[in-house]
Amino acid sequence: MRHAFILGLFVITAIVLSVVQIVFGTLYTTAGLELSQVQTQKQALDKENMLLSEKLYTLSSLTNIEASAKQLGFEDETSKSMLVVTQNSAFALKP
Amino acid sequence: MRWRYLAIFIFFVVLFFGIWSKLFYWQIIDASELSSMGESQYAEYLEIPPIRGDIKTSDNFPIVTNRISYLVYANPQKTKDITLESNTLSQLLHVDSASISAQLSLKDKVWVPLVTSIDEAAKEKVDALNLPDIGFQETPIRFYPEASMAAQLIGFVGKDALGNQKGYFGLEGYYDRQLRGRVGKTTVVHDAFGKPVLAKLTSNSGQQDGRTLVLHIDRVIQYDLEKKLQEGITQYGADSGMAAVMDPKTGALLGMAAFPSFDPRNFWDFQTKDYINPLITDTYEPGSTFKPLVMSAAMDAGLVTPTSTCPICDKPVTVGDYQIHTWDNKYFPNTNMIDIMIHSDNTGMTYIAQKLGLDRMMSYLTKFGIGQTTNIDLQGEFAPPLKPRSQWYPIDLATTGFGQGISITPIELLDAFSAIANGGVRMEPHIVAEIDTPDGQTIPLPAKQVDQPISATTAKLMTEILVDTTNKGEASFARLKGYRIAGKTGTASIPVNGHYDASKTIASFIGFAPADNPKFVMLVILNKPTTSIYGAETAAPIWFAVAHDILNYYNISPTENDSSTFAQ
Repeated sequence: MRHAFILGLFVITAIVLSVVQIVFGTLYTTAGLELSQVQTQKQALDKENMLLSEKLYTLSSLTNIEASAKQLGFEDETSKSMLVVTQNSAFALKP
Repeated sequence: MRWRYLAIFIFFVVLFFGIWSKLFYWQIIDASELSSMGESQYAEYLEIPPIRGDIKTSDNFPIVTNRISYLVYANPQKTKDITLESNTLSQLLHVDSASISAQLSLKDKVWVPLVTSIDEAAKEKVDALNLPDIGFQETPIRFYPEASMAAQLIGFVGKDALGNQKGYFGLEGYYDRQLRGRVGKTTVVHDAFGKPVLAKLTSNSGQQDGRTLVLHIDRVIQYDLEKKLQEGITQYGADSGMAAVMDPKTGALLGMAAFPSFDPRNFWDFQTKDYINPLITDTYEPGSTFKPLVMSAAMDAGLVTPTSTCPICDKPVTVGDYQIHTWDNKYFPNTNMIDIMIHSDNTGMTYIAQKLGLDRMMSYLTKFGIGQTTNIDLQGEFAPPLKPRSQWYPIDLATTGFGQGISITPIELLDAFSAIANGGVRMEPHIVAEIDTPDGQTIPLPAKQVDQPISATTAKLMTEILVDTTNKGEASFARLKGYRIAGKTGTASIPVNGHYDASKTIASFIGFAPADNPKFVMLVILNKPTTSIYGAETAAPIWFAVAHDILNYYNISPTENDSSTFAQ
């Protein structure tokens, strides 16, 4: 009777451990696949981010801004003189 | 019967020994090889390269960052029509058709490189052709949004002997260890279906991206400085030119430019001399821009005051076998220190140098940092040391008074002159303001005081003399009215085979503004200008053009009174 109980305990333990092994094994395998997908997605986003940054920096470079300003009709300031407006100066608000 | 037991015993002993030997061989002698063979069936070793750190200007704009580029390669054994494919790729990638054709003809190879460093758009065009023999290898390369801006300041990234990225010259060279980061190694374990196993997917690889440098360099000032300097070199027909702008209170370099320069994107197309930053490596005789240092030393030593007169300035001064003349052969009897500076009087400076004496001259020059490197954070700084005391002759002392016969680098002069602008305190020049780590930490690099060569009172007096010099000196036509600017022109003769060539000069202007609360000190140097040999007519207009823009940029308004306290 006692031997049968111990044998049963062994069998149940073995079954429980097997189930645990299968469950966790499956979980790990699936998670590994998911993680791999997430990593691929991250790489794609990093790449897109880098490409967008490249465009942003190119567009906001002073070289580009100067070229755009010239196209829009802005000109380099050639005079060294400056107009200093004091607080008391009067301006006509309407023509 | 006994021999049978013995035979069986021996048989088992031999068998056991054989098994033990084989196990010993597998587990001890051949263990590592077998282990790696096993691992290779389920594990993959990856090297994770670091991303090199950015270099940003003070407005946090990356003047150097990274972008994705591709190496186009081919497997010639899969190429069907070499001519057609060469022509197609040649048109798309703008490269020589013959070079592609030559690579595709190497039928005994399975991998040949075709084109390097193509961008995403070009890659997509080639990808759309669906050529079975063509592949791409992704590689990050340096990207310069402002093109060749500050090229000599930045340096470039090449390869070392092992083929790894390495920074050369400028900041890339000086801060290479900070910028390059650390390569990581990791193992990815796959299951029987080739899927990664989570428990063994990654381990701590040790990979670390490079750190980012945030500079003191102001992008707007740098852009303007380069533009005006380049225009000036062309306008005045100079061989080359250089300029630097510094905050005298902190030693922070706000701009630094030199031409001819190079393009870091294609650095291999330029000569080595174009990579070198002349502001920290080229030595020259500074000429009259050196005079304020000598005069302030004499004033600080209590030997002269601004109103002291020169008793030997009525004619050329004889020193040994040599005769010292003024630059225009005009002489002013009993001229005072202010007028000596306004007229850039060599005889007056000879008088001051002789009054100062050799010991005090050497002591003050050392305190001003002359003859020593400034410790600027750029690769390749060089400074010739002052001559030993025993090698100084009376003529050397005299000519040093007006900046001839002594060789210094432009950065030495800029740093020494900035002490006058900063109440007599000399700061260490610095390019990098802080270092940002990939984990979000900021390491500030604080300003460093090096020495105090002159007192605050002497610095104030010298500043007023220099304001007068700007307003009444040779460059007064170019000055900015409404601003008190302390400056000095320089026209230094170039020594050729032991003599000075009168037609070839180094023209320069150094100054700071506003004189009462200096925001910047700037040095402009033109090498061998041809339209005029004088600094007042070439370097000074460039200096004032840039100063005008910087004052505007800093929102500093002109004032009604721009004269010196002496003039008042």
